[in-house]
Amino acid sequence: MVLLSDPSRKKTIRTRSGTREIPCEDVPASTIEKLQIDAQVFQSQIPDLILRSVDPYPYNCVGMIFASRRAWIEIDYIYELLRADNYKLVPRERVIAGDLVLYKNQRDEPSHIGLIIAVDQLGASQNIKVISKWGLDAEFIHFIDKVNSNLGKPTEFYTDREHHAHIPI
Amino acid sequence: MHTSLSDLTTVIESIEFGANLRVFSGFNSFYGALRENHTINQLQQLLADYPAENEQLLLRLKTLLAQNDEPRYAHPHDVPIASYLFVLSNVSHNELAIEAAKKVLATANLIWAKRLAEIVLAEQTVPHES
Repeated sequence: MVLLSDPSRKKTIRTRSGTREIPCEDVPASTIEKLQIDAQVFQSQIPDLILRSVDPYPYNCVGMIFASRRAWIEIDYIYELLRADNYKLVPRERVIAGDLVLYKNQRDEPSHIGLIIAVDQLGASQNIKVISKWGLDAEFIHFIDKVNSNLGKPTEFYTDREHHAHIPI
Repeated sequence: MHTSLSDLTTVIESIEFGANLRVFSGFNSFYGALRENHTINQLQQLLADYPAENEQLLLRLKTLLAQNDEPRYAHPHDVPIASYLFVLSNVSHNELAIEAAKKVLATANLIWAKRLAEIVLAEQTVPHES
């Protein structure tokens, strides 16, 4: 079964390197009421969850980061986007605000991506805060491990910084 | 004693079930979650054990399709409709799944259900190898 969508019918975004055009899905807007109701469900599941935005415009986690909240881009294209926009893997202990966290599901497939907005070093451990858009639902500020279980677990970290290895943590 | 069709549809049409399945950012992730969902698997088993319930589920799907108070926006029952289409396409006679898929594609502003319906109908057009 082929589950990837048909690229021929889509609008696209061009990557930074200009080598790829990534298709965007045409998704209808959700009502603000629906977004608020779902947000209440998530906040009852995850007490520290902060609702950032209930914008009805249809974009997802990938579109939030790679298309400035203007598009829905399937998570299946995430590695193409990261590669074509010159992102590099970075160890978790070296991430800083502005880097990205990629979540993976139990099948080890990319399931979600978020923008790191704060890293607090607490002795040997880190408190990492993230902004991310949860699919068709709202945009949240959350601790890196505190997401809906369907979004998977934080697994890989990426940076666009050219000399990330030299930035002190 | 098995869980009834009504019990399962109540869970699948709940706010919490819908919210948890609206978080995906790709159809493949959504599809994978349907395959692994306990309630969906229970419904699939129920329909396999009691084939007469297939018609009831199709009726419920059609009822939900017609319930959309704000047609300019995403259909409010996209997740349960997609769930029922998924189950019908896995366990029912082809005719029921095809009928459901056609109804879905004729309804505006569905998201996951529309993507699934396209696949269901595409698979029907592929000739089986002998």
